[in-house]
Amino acid sequence: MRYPLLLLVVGLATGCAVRSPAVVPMREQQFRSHDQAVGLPLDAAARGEVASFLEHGGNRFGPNAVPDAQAAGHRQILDALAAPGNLKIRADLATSDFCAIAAPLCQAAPIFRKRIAVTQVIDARNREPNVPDPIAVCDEEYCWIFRQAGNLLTHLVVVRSVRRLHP
Amino acid sequence: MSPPRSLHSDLLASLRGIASVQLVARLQDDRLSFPQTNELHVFIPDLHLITAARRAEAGYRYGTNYPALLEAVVKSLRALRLASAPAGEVVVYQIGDLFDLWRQVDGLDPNANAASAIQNDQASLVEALRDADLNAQFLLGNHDYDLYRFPNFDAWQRSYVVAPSVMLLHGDVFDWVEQLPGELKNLVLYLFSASHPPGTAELEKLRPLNNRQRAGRNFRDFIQNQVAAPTGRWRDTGDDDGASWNVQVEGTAPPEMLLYLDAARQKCAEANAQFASAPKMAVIGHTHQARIAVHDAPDGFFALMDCGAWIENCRTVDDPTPRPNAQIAALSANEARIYQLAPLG
Repeated sequence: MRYPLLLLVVGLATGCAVRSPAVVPMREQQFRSHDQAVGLPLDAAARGEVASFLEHGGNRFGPNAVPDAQAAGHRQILDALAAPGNLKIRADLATSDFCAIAAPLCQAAPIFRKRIAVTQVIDARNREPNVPDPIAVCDEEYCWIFRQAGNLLTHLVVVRSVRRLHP
Repeated sequence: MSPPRSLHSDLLASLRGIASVQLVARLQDDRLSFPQTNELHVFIPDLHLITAARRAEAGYRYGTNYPALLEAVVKSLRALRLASAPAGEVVVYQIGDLFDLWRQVDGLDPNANAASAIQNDQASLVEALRDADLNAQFLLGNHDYDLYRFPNFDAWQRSYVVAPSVMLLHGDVFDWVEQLPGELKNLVLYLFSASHPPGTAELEKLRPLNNRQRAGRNFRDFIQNQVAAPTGRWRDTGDDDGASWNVQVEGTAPPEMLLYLDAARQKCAEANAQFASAPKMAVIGHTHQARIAVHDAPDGFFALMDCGAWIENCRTVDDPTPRPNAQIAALSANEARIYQLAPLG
């Protein structure tokens, strides 16, 4: 056979090289903080809505409060997102390091350190993907999906991670 | 007397409102077997977008030409599409290498970070291209081939059949298809089929072959053409008499103007035998050399329309001065045209 090496390479590549990219899906209504992303910096009302969502275990329609294991870290995030200076980003960086993209926010909210930035955000309500790409970052239980424009974070929706099973 | 109104003339009028327009080539021939007068298919060729920061960092000596004009053209196509409906249908295609992932990152890009960075850096242009009202169809090129793996781009295709007689593909396959063993040649035939379009599995199998074309190249000075690409003789659109113009006919045209004509004709014939499709024309980009080439012989008629690019330079027979490539092409009513654009004034 004339091309055994080539076919071997093709075979290995097809077997080993397939990797699914990280994806953050927009959750169904009860598991997202808002139907329309709230503007940043967070004002008192929007902050209260996000806080309430987190206090109810990421279930907007849940009747009962649920202990938030990351409450302190989440408070830091909400504080940070109220300050315009923390919203500056470098959206033109080809990196998955969220803190390289959003350094001021990471400085103010260390819970985001060493987290992966995900730009493949799937929102089935959209007719086409958002441009510029949203930037999502997930902590242990929630994904924070930011809209951006002009190297600033402009809007936010928080969704309960699909990895979290309880409550 | 002004020419009768058609979707071609509507497009030209729209373009002339925002740009200086010259006719690079026109083929008017019923043998294209594409008689639809109520459809206009518009092809935007290679853009090779990267971020401004990457261009500076890597020292690339060239970039996408006339980005502001390009965005205006895309927005004018959206307006034309809306104004033409419902009597006429305008379909816009970007035919591959919209993003240049090869120049944006040096190595692998497993999470689409490069695509996101480019998209974010060129947000207004990409937003115009991805406008739902424009509903542009996107082809994968060789420099953005890997996008098929990412959810936000997985609707992008490797080829389209514009029924009943036109094959649309990026064109890079002709760089390497003849070097393949038979098994993979058969796989490539999927690109030429309307009834058996390539799925993710086929694209994955071809991916290593695509990446081989990148190996060892840095693209610092050029991608395709180190010197300005020949495009024949252009014509002012005001002098237009409606006849075919600057068509490169096999047997009389210089060989460099016939690149991939024969390869496209052969592959379409093979696809015809295997899948019962009957393409009379292939529309490609990739070479960054705008031209229409024709095989017209007793064994049949076949046309290749290479839509050019928005990167690197071209020249004409009349003027060897390099000019920035900025072309779009269109097809309707058995007539194919390529225009060269430049900013007004």
